Amino acid sequence: MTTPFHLHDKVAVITGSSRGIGRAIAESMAALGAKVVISSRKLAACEEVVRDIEQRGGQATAVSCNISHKAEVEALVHKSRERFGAIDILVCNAAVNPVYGPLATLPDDAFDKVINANVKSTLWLCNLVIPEMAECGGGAVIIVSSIAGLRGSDRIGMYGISKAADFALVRNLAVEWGPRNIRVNALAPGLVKTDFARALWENEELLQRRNAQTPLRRIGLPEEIGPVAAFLASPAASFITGQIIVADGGITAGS
Amino acid sequence: MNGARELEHRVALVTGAGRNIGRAIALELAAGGAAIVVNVRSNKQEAEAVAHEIEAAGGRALPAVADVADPETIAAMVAAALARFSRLDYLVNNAAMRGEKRLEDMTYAEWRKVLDVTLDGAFHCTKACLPHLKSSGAGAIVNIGGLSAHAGSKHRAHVLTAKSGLVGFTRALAFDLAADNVTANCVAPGLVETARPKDFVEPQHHAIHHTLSGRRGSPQDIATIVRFFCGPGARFITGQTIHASGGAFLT
Repeated sequence: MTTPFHLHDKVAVITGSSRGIGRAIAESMAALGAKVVISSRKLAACEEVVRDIEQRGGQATAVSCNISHKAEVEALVHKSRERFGAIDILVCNAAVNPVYGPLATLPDDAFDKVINANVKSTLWLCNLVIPEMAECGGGAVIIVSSIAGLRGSDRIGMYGISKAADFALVRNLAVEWGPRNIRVNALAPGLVKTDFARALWENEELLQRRNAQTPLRRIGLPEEIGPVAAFLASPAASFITGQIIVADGGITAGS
Repeated sequence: MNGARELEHRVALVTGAGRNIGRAIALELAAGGAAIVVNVRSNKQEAEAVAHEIEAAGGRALPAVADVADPETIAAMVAAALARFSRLDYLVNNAAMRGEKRLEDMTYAEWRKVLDVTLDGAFHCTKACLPHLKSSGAGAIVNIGGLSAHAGSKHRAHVLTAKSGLVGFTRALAFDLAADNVTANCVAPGLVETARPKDFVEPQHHAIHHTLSGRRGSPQDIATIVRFFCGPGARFITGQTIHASGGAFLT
Protein backbone atom coordinates (compact mmCIF):
# COMPACT_ATOMS: atom_id res chain seq x y z
CA MET A 1 0.00 0.00 0.00
CA THR A 2 1.31 3.41 -0.94
CA THR A 3 1.60 5.88 1.90
CA PRO A 4 2.35 9.60 1.72
CA PHE A 5 5.75 8.77 3.23
CA HIS A 6 6.89 6.54 0.37
CA LEU A 7 10.16 7.21 -1.45
CA HIS A 8 9.92 4.45 -4.06
CA ASP A 9 12.84 4.52 -6.49
CA LYS A 10 13.90 7.99 -5.43
CA VAL A 11 17.65 8.52 -5.45
CA ALA A 12 18.91 10.04 -2.22
CA VAL A 13 22.45 11.25 -1.57
CA ILE A 14 23.26 11.59 2.11
CA THR A 15 26.61 12.98 3.21
CA GLY A 16 28.15 11.80 6.46
CA SER A 17 26.00 8.69 6.43
CA SER A 18 28.32 5.98 7.71
CA ARG A 19 27.38 6.74 11.33
CA GLY A 20 24.98 8.56 13.62
CA ILE A 21 22.22 10.75 12.27
CA GLY A 22 23.31 10.44 8.63
CA ARG A 23 23.21 6.67 8.83
CA ALA A 24 19.79 6.74 10.49
CA ILE A 25 18.51 9.02 7.72
CA ALA A 26 19.85 6.65 5.06
CA GLU A 27 18.26 3.66 6.79
CA SER A 28 14.90 5.41 7.12
CA MET A 29 14.91 6.45 3.47
CA ALA A 30 16.03 3.03 2.26
CA ALA A 31 13.26 1.37 4.27
CA LEU A 32 10.76 3.61 2.47
CA GLY A 33 12.04 2.53 -0.93
CA ALA A 34 14.75 5.04 -1.78
CA LYS A 35 18.05 4.12 -3.43
CA VAL A 36 20.55 5.69 -1.06
CA VAL A 37 24.11 6.82 -1.62
CA ILE A 38 26.12 6.31 1.57
CA SER A 39 29.01 8.69 1.88
CA SER A 40 31.72 9.63 4.34
CA ARG A 41 35.48 9.97 4.36
CA LYS A 42 36.00 6.25 5.00
CA LEU A 43 34.83 3.97 2.22
CA ALA A 44 35.00 0.79 4.30
CA ALA A 45 32.63 2.24 6.89
CA CYS A 46 30.22 3.22 4.10
CA GLU A 47 30.36 -0.23 2.55
CA GLU A 48 29.39 -1.75 5.87
CA VAL A 49 26.25 0.41 5.98
CA VAL A 50 25.48 -0.56 2.38
CA ARG A 51 25.70 -4.26 3.25
CA ASP A 52 23.44 -3.72 6.23
CA ILE A 53 20.81 -1.94 4.14
CA GLU A 54 21.03 -4.55 1.37
CA GLN A 55 20.55 -7.34 3.89
CA ARG A 56 17.27 -5.73 4.85
CA GLY A 57 16.18 -5.62 1.23
CA GLY A 58 17.13 -2.04 0.49
CA GLN A 59 19.22 -0.50 -2.27
CA ALA A 60 22.40 1.38 -1.48
CA THR A 61 25.83 2.23 -2.80
CA ALA A 62 28.97 3.62 -1.15
CA VAL A 63 30.99 6.62 -2.31
CA SER A 64 33.77 8.10 -0.20
CA CYS A 65 33.87 11.86 0.05
CA ASN A 66 35.63 14.44 2.18
CA ILE A 67 33.18 17.33 1.93
CA SER A 68 35.99 19.87 2.49
CA HIS A 69 37.43 19.13 -0.95
CA LYS A 70 35.48 20.40 -3.93
CA ALA A 71 36.83 17.76 -6.30
CA GLU A 72 35.59 15.02 -3.98
CA VAL A 73 32.16 16.64 -3.70
CA GLU A 74 31.95 16.80 -7.49
CA ALA A 75 33.01 13.18 -7.70
CA LEU A 76 30.32 12.20 -5.19
CA VAL A 77 27.61 13.77 -7.34
CA HIS A 78 29.06 12.29 -10.52
CA LYS A 79 29.35 8.75 -9.14
CA SER A 80 25.90 8.89 -7.57
CA ARG A 81 24.33 9.75 -10.94
CA GLU A 82 26.42 7.11 -12.68
CA ARG A 83 25.18 4.37 -10.35
CA PHE A 84 21.57 5.33 -9.65
CA GLY A 85 20.64 8.07 -12.15
CA ALA A 86 19.30 11.54 -11.45
CA ILE A 87 19.31 12.64 -7.80
CA ASP A 88 15.87 13.34 -6.29
CA ILE A 89 16.82 13.90 -2.67
CA LEU A 90 19.91 15.60 -1.29
CA VAL A 91 20.70 15.44 2.42
CA CYS A 92 23.58 17.68 3.46
CA ASN A 93 24.40 16.11 6.78
CA ALA A 94 28.18 15.91 7.04
CA ALA A 95 29.68 18.58 9.25
CA VAL A 96 32.70 19.16 11.42
CA ASN A 97 33.01 20.46 14.95
CA PRO A 98 36.73 20.58 15.72
CA VAL A 99 36.66 23.18 18.48
CA TYR A 100 35.18 23.26 21.95
CA GLY A 101 35.65 26.51 23.82
CA PRO A 102 35.00 30.24 23.78
CA LEU A 103 34.95 32.36 20.61
CA ALA A 104 37.35 34.73 22.37
CA THR A 105 40.31 32.47 21.64
CA LEU A 106 39.13 30.94 18.37
CA PRO A 107 42.01 30.65 15.86
CA ASP A 108 41.38 31.94 12.33
CA ASP A 109 42.11 28.59 10.77
CA ALA A 110 39.46 26.91 12.94
CA PHE A 111 36.93 29.52 11.79
CA ASP A 112 37.81 28.90 8.16
CA LYS A 113 37.75 25.14 8.54
CA VAL A 114 34.27 25.11 10.08
CA ILE A 115 32.80 27.59 7.60
CA ASN A 116 34.33 25.76 4.64
CA ALA A 117 33.19 22.30 5.69
CA ASN A 118 29.79 23.20 7.14
CA VAL A 119 28.62 26.05 4.93
CA LYS A 120 30.59 26.46 1.72
CA SER A 121 30.61 22.74 1.02
CA THR A 122 26.84 22.55 1.49
CA LEU A 123 26.40 25.26 -1.10
CA TRP A 124 28.74 23.39 -3.49
CA LEU A 125 26.59 20.30 -3.17
CA CYS A 126 23.35 22.21 -3.63
CA ASN A 127 24.64 23.99 -6.71
CA LEU A 128 25.89 20.74 -8.19
CA VAL A 129 22.63 18.87 -7.61
CA ILE A 130 19.67 21.29 -7.63
CA PRO A 131 19.81 22.47 -11.28
CA GLU A 132 19.45 18.89 -12.49
CA MET A 133 16.64 18.27 -10.01
CA ALA A 134 14.87 21.27 -11.51
CA GLU A 135 15.34 19.91 -15.03
CA CYS A 136 13.76 16.66 -13.88
CA GLY A 137 10.70 18.44 -12.46
CA GLY A 138 11.62 18.90 -8.82
CA GLY A 139 13.23 17.49 -5.73
CA ALA A 140 13.86 17.86 -2.03
CA VAL A 141 16.91 19.16 -0.22
CA ILE A 142 17.39 18.70 3.51
CA ILE A 143 20.17 20.45 5.33
CA VAL A 144 20.87 18.90 8.69
CA SER A 145 21.52 21.83 10.98
CA SER A 146 21.26 21.92 14.78
CA ILE A 147 19.51 23.80 17.55
CA ALA A 148 23.03 25.09 18.22
CA GLY A 149 22.19 27.50 15.38
CA LEU A 150 19.16 28.77 17.30
CA ARG A 151 20.78 29.35 20.68
CA GLY A 152 23.97 30.66 22.22
CA SER A 153 26.60 28.44 23.78
CA ASP A 154 29.86 28.99 25.67
CA ARG A 155 31.37 25.82 24.24
CA ILE A 156 30.30 25.27 20.65
CA GLY A 157 29.88 28.84 19.44
CA MET A 158 31.68 28.40 16.14
CA TYR A 159 29.66 25.33 15.32
CA GLY A 160 26.51 27.33 16.18
CA ILE A 161 27.53 30.10 13.80
CA SER A 162 27.92 27.61 10.96
CA LYS A 163 24.59 25.97 11.81
CA ALA A 164 22.79 29.32 11.87
CA ALA A 165 24.16 29.87 8.36
CA ASP A 166 22.29 26.71 7.32
CA PHE A 167 19.00 28.43 8.13
CA ALA A 168 19.77 31.38 5.88
CA LEU A 169 20.97 29.00 3.19
CA VAL A 170 17.70 27.09 3.35
CA ARG A 171 15.55 30.21 3.13
CA ASN A 172 17.48 31.61 0.21
CA LEU A 173 17.60 28.36 -1.73
CA ALA A 174 13.87 27.86 -1.06
CA VAL A 175 13.15 31.25 -2.59
CA GLU A 176 15.55 30.72 -5.48
CA TRP A 177 14.28 27.27 -6.43
CA GLY A 178 10.66 27.21 -5.20
CA PRO A 179 9.37 28.17 -8.65
CA ARG A 180 11.09 25.06 -10.04
CA ASN A 181 9.41 22.75 -7.51
CA ILE A 182 12.46 22.23 -5.32
CA ARG A 183 11.72 22.18 -1.60
CA VAL A 184 14.58 23.10 0.73
CA ASN A 185 14.28 22.65 4.48
CA ALA A 186 16.53 22.53 7.51
CA LEU A 187 16.31 19.85 10.15
CA ALA A 188 17.54 21.01 13.55
CA PRO A 189 18.10 18.18 16.01
CA GLY A 190 18.81 18.76 19.66
CA LEU A 191 21.40 16.71 21.50
CA VAL A 192 21.43 13.22 20.00
CA LYS A 193 23.39 10.21 21.20
CA THR A 194 26.00 10.05 18.42
CA ASP A 195 29.78 9.81 18.34
CA PHE A 196 29.78 13.32 16.89
CA ALA A 197 28.24 14.77 20.06
CA ARG A 198 29.93 12.40 22.47
CA ALA A 199 31.70 15.22 24.36
CA LEU A 200 28.29 16.68 25.19
CA TRP A 201 26.53 13.59 26.52
CA GLU A 202 29.35 11.44 27.91
CA ASN A 203 29.80 13.69 30.92
CA GLU A 204 27.20 12.38 33.38
CA GLU A 205 26.75 15.73 35.12
CA LEU A 206 26.16 17.57 31.83
CA LEU A 207 23.77 14.88 30.68
CA GLN A 208 21.67 15.07 33.82
CA ARG A 209 21.43 18.85 33.58
CA ARG A 210 20.47 18.54 29.92
CA ASN A 211 17.78 15.97 30.64
CA ALA A 212 16.33 18.17 33.36
CA GLN A 213 16.05 21.10 30.90
CA THR A 214 14.38 19.00 28.21
CA PRO A 215 10.60 18.52 28.39
CA LEU A 216 10.90 14.88 27.27
CA ARG A 217 13.61 14.47 29.96
CA ARG A 218 16.07 12.72 27.67
CA ILE A 219 18.39 13.26 24.73
CA GLY A 220 17.49 11.91 21.30
CA LEU A 221 18.53 8.81 19.42
CA PRO A 222 19.65 8.81 15.76
CA GLU A 223 16.65 6.64 14.85
CA GLU A 224 14.38 9.45 16.06
CA ILE A 225 15.91 11.88 13.55
CA GLY A 226 16.06 9.60 10.49
CA PRO A 227 12.28 9.42 10.01
CA VAL A 228 11.96 13.21 10.27
CA ALA A 229 14.36 13.69 7.35
CA ALA A 230 12.55 10.95 5.41
CA PHE A 231 9.26 12.76 6.06
CA LEU A 232 10.68 16.05 4.75
CA ALA A 233 11.82 14.28 1.57
CA SER A 234 8.47 12.56 1.03
CA PRO A 235 5.18 13.60 -0.63
CA ALA A 236 3.80 14.00 2.92
CA ALA A 237 5.76 17.25 3.18
CA SER A 238 4.89 18.52 -0.31
CA PHE A 239 3.81 21.98 0.89
CA ILE A 240 6.68 22.55 3.33
CA THR A 241 9.63 24.61 2.11
CA GLY A 242 12.07 27.13 3.56
CA GLN A 243 11.40 25.90 7.09
CA ILE A 244 13.40 24.82 10.10
CA ILE A 245 12.06 21.62 11.61
CA VAL A 246 13.23 21.18 15.19
CA ALA A 247 13.47 17.70 16.76
CA ASP A 248 14.88 18.28 20.21
CA GLY A 249 12.56 16.79 22.81
CA GLY A 250 11.15 20.29 23.31
CA ILE A 251 14.21 22.00 24.79
CA THR A 252 13.98 25.10 22.58
CA ALA A 253 10.22 25.39 23.02
CA GLY A 254 10.97 26.78 26.46
CA SER A 255 13.42 29.46 25.39
CA MET B 1 9.25 4.13 10.96
CA ASN B 2 6.13 5.26 9.17
CA GLY B 3 4.89 2.13 7.50
CA ALA B 4 1.72 1.51 5.58
CA ARG B 5 -0.49 1.23 8.69
CA GLU B 6 1.62 2.85 11.36
CA LEU B 7 -1.42 4.13 13.31
CA GLU B 8 -3.09 0.71 13.59
CA HIS B 9 -5.03 0.22 16.86
CA ARG B 10 -4.83 3.94 17.64
CA VAL B 11 -7.79 6.31 17.95
CA ALA B 12 -7.88 9.94 16.82
CA LEU B 13 -10.38 12.71 17.51
CA VAL B 14 -10.43 15.36 14.78
CA THR B 15 -12.49 18.48 15.41
CA GLY B 16 -14.12 20.31 12.51
CA ALA B 17 -13.69 17.21 10.38
CA GLY B 18 -16.75 17.61 8.15
CA ARG B 19 -14.90 19.18 5.24
CA ASN B 20 -11.71 20.66 3.86
CA ILE B 21 -8.54 20.33 5.97
CA GLY B 22 -10.31 18.60 8.90
CA ARG B 23 -11.89 16.04 6.58
CA ALA B 24 -8.56 15.39 4.84
CA ILE B 25 -6.91 14.85 8.24
CA ALA B 26 -9.61 12.37 9.28
CA LEU B 27 -9.22 10.41 6.03
CA GLU B 28 -5.42 10.48 6.19
CA LEU B 29 -5.20 9.25 9.80
CA ALA B 30 -7.71 6.55 8.90
CA ALA B 31 -5.50 5.55 5.96
CA GLY B 32 -2.71 5.14 8.52
CA GLY B 33 -4.91 2.67 10.39
CA ALA B 34 -6.39 4.82 13.18
CA ALA B 35 -10.06 4.77 14.15
CA ILE B 36 -11.48 8.28 13.82
CA VAL B 37 -13.94 10.34 15.83
CA VAL B 38 -15.27 12.67 13.13
CA ASN B 39 -16.38 15.80 14.95
CA VAL B 40 -18.57 18.51 13.43
CA ARG B 41 -20.34 21.39 15.14
CA SER B 42 -23.76 20.98 13.55
CA ASN B 43 -23.81 19.38 10.10
CA LYS B 44 -24.42 15.74 11.01
CA GLN B 45 -24.67 14.69 7.35
CA GLU B 46 -21.14 15.88 6.66
CA ALA B 47 -19.78 13.90 9.62
CA GLU B 48 -21.65 10.80 8.50
CA ALA B 49 -20.40 11.18 4.95
CA VAL B 50 -16.78 11.31 6.15
CA ALA B 51 -17.36 8.35 8.51
CA HIS B 52 -18.91 6.35 5.65
CA GLU B 53 -15.96 7.15 3.43
CA ILE B 54 -13.59 5.84 6.10
CA GLU B 55 -15.66 2.71 6.68
CA ALA B 56 -15.99 2.06 2.96
CA ALA B 57 -12.18 1.96 2.81
CA GLY B 58 -12.15 -0.64 5.62
CA GLY B 59 -11.57 1.75 8.52
CA ARG B 60 -13.43 2.55 11.72
CA ALA B 61 -15.14 5.87 12.38
CA LEU B 62 -17.65 7.51 14.68
CA PRO B 63 -19.48 10.66 13.54
CA ALA B 64 -19.88 13.04 16.49
CA VAL B 65 -21.83 16.29 16.63
CA ALA B 66 -20.44 18.57 19.34
CA ASP B 67 -19.62 22.25 19.65
CA VAL B 68 -15.98 22.68 20.72
CA ALA B 69 -17.01 25.91 22.46
CA ASP B 70 -19.35 23.94 24.71
CA PRO B 71 -17.49 21.77 27.29
CA GLU B 72 -20.60 19.70 28.04
CA THR B 73 -21.13 18.48 24.49
CA ILE B 74 -17.38 17.83 24.22
CA ALA B 75 -17.43 15.68 27.37
CA ALA B 76 -20.34 13.70 25.94
CA MET B 77 -18.48 13.21 22.64
CA VAL B 78 -15.33 11.97 24.39
CA ALA B 79 -17.43 9.58 26.51
CA ALA B 80 -19.07 8.23 23.36
CA ALA B 81 -15.67 7.84 21.71
CA LEU B 82 -14.36 5.87 24.69
CA ALA B 83 -17.45 3.71 24.79
CA ARG B 84 -16.97 2.86 21.13
CA PHE B 85 -13.18 2.58 20.79
CA SER B 86 -11.98 2.13 24.42
CA ARG B 87 -9.05 4.50 23.97
CA LEU B 88 -7.95 7.85 22.58
CA ASP B 89 -4.40 8.49 21.36
CA TYR B 90 -4.53 11.63 19.24
CA LEU B 91 -6.38 14.93 19.37
CA VAL B 92 -6.37 17.24 16.37
CA ASN B 93 -7.66 20.69 17.27
CA ASN B 94 -8.73 21.83 13.83
CA ALA B 95 -12.15 23.46 14.41
CA ALA B 96 -11.88 27.21 13.87
CA MET B 97 -13.81 30.32 12.97
CA ARG B 98 -12.56 32.63 10.26
CA GLY B 99 -13.84 35.80 8.68
CA GLU B 100 -12.59 39.28 8.02
CA LYS B 101 -13.79 42.44 9.68
CA ARG B 102 -12.32 45.89 10.03
CA LEU B 103 -11.22 46.47 13.62
CA GLU B 104 -13.46 49.56 13.74
CA ASP B 105 -16.48 47.41 12.90
CA MET B 106 -15.60 44.34 14.98
CA THR B 107 -17.92 43.89 17.94
CA TYR B 108 -16.84 42.26 21.16
CA ALA B 109 -19.31 39.47 20.46
CA GLU B 110 -17.62 38.75 17.12
CA TRP B 111 -14.18 38.82 18.74
CA ARG B 112 -15.38 36.48 21.50
CA LYS B 113 -17.02 34.05 19.09
CA VAL B 114 -13.75 33.42 17.20
CA LEU B 115 -11.73 33.04 20.40
CA ASP B 116 -14.42 30.80 21.93
CA VAL B 117 -14.19 28.33 19.08
CA THR B 118 -10.58 28.48 17.95
CA LEU B 119 -8.73 28.94 21.22
CA ASP B 120 -11.12 28.02 24.04
CA GLY B 121 -12.36 25.11 21.93
CA ALA B 122 -8.83 23.68 21.83
CA PHE B 123 -8.63 24.08 25.61
CA HIS B 124 -11.95 22.31 26.24
CA CYS B 125 -11.12 19.44 23.88
CA THR B 126 -7.64 19.01 25.32
CA LYS B 127 -8.97 18.93 28.88
CA ALA B 128 -11.66 16.42 27.99
CA CYS B 129 -9.22 14.12 26.17
CA LEU B 130 -6.30 14.52 28.57
CA PRO B 131 -6.68 11.47 30.82
CA HIS B 132 -7.02 9.23 27.76
CA LEU B 133 -4.11 10.79 25.86
CA LYS B 134 -1.95 10.30 28.96
CA SER B 135 -2.76 6.62 29.19
CA SER B 136 -2.03 6.14 25.48
CA GLY B 137 1.72 5.78 26.07
CA ALA B 138 2.39 7.60 22.79
CA GLY B 139 -0.19 10.38 22.69
CA ALA B 140 -0.14 13.37 20.36
CA ILE B 141 -1.96 16.66 20.16
CA VAL B 142 -1.81 18.54 16.88
CA ASN B 143 -3.17 22.07 16.78
CA ILE B 144 -3.96 23.63 13.43
CA GLY B 145 -2.67 27.19 13.39
CA GLY B 146 -2.51 29.57 10.47
CA LEU B 147 -0.16 31.57 8.30
CA SER B 148 -1.74 34.93 9.13
CA ALA B 149 -0.91 34.56 12.81
CA HIS B 150 2.77 34.66 11.85
CA ALA B 151 2.87 36.79 8.73
CA GLY B 152 0.12 39.20 9.80
CA SER B 153 -2.79 40.51 7.74
CA LYS B 154 -5.51 43.12 7.86
CA HIS B 155 -9.02 42.80 9.27
CA ARG B 156 -8.43 39.56 11.15
CA ALA B 157 -7.56 40.68 14.68
CA HIS B 158 -9.75 37.95 16.19
CA VAL B 159 -8.41 35.16 13.98
CA LEU B 160 -4.75 36.20 14.33
CA THR B 161 -5.07 36.47 18.10
CA ALA B 162 -6.75 33.09 18.45
CA LYS B 163 -4.30 31.30 16.14
CA SER B 164 -1.31 32.96 17.85
CA GLY B 165 -2.76 31.75 21.12
CA LEU B 166 -2.70 28.20 19.78
CA VAL B 167 1.07 28.49 19.22
CA GLY B 168 1.58 29.40 22.89
CA PHE B 169 -0.88 26.72 23.96
CA THR B 170 1.15 24.20 21.95
CA ARG B 171 4.36 25.13 23.79
CA ALA B 172 2.63 24.97 27.15
CA LEU B 173 1.22 21.53 26.37
CA ALA B 174 4.67 20.30 25.31
CA PHE B 175 5.96 21.07 28.78
CA ASP B 176 2.92 19.99 30.77
CA LEU B 177 2.43 16.66 29.00
CA ALA B 178 5.98 15.55 28.22
CA ALA B 179 6.26 13.42 31.35
CA ASP B 180 3.28 11.40 30.09
CA ASN B 181 4.86 11.00 26.65
CA VAL B 182 2.22 13.13 24.94
CA THR B 183 3.69 15.38 22.24
CA ALA B 184 2.09 18.67 21.22
CA ASN B 185 2.76 20.38 17.91
CA CYS B 186 1.16 22.92 15.65
CA VAL B 187 0.78 22.89 11.87
CA ALA B 188 0.36 26.34 10.34
CA PRO B 189 -1.20 26.07 6.88
CA GLY B 190 -1.27 28.90 4.40
CA LEU B 191 -3.09 29.34 1.08
CA VAL B 192 -4.84 26.00 0.91
CA GLU B 193 -7.39 25.32 -1.81
CA THR B 194 -10.61 24.49 0.04
CA ALA B 195 -14.29 24.17 -0.79
CA ARG B 196 -16.06 27.47 -0.06
CA PRO B 197 -19.67 28.55 -0.03
CA LYS B 198 -21.08 29.75 -3.38
CA ASP B 199 -21.19 33.38 -2.26
CA PHE B 200 -17.59 33.24 -1.04
CA VAL B 201 -15.62 36.40 -1.63
CA GLU B 202 -11.85 35.89 -1.83
CA PRO B 203 -10.56 37.54 1.38
CA GLN B 204 -7.84 40.20 1.23
CA HIS B 205 -5.38 38.10 3.21
CA HIS B 206 -5.21 35.62 0.34
CA ALA B 207 -4.00 38.37 -1.95
CA ILE B 208 -1.09 39.48 0.23
CA HIS B 209 0.58 36.07 0.65
CA HIS B 210 2.43 34.22 -2.12
CA THR B 211 3.75 30.68 -2.28
CA LEU B 212 7.17 30.22 -3.86
CA SER B 213 5.89 27.81 -6.47
CA GLY B 214 2.77 29.83 -7.24
CA ARG B 215 0.75 26.73 -6.39
CA ARG B 216 -1.74 26.65 -3.55
CA GLY B 217 -1.68 23.74 -1.15
CA SER B 218 -4.32 21.04 -0.94
CA PRO B 219 -6.00 19.82 2.27
CA GLN B 220 -4.04 16.61 1.70
CA ASP B 221 -0.77 18.57 1.92
CA ILE B 222 -1.70 19.48 5.49
CA ALA B 223 -3.19 16.13 6.46
CA THR B 224 -0.04 14.15 5.72
CA ILE B 225 1.93 16.36 8.11
CA VAL B 226 -0.60 15.72 10.87
CA ARG B 227 -0.28 11.99 10.18
CA PHE B 228 3.48 12.27 10.54
CA PHE B 229 3.15 14.09 13.88
CA CYS B 230 0.85 11.37 15.20
CA GLY B 231 3.04 8.52 14.00
CA PRO B 232 6.13 6.82 15.37
CA GLY B 233 8.53 8.92 13.29
CA ALA B 234 7.92 12.13 15.24
CA ARG B 235 8.22 11.08 18.88
CA PHE B 236 11.17 13.42 19.55
CA ILE B 237 9.35 16.46 18.13
CA THR B 238 7.31 18.46 20.59
CA GLY B 239 6.34 22.10 21.13
CA GLN B 240 6.97 22.95 17.46
CA THR B 241 5.08 24.93 14.88
CA ILE B 242 5.55 23.65 11.34
CA HIS B 243 4.65 25.94 8.48
CA ALA B 244 3.00 24.35 5.47
CA SER B 245 2.52 27.31 3.21
CA GLY B 246 4.66 26.59 0.17
CA GLY B 247 7.26 28.97 1.55
CA ALA B 248 4.84 31.89 1.88
CA PHE B 249 6.32 32.42 5.33
CA LEU B 250 9.95 31.59 6.11
CA THR B 251 10.75 31.11 9.77
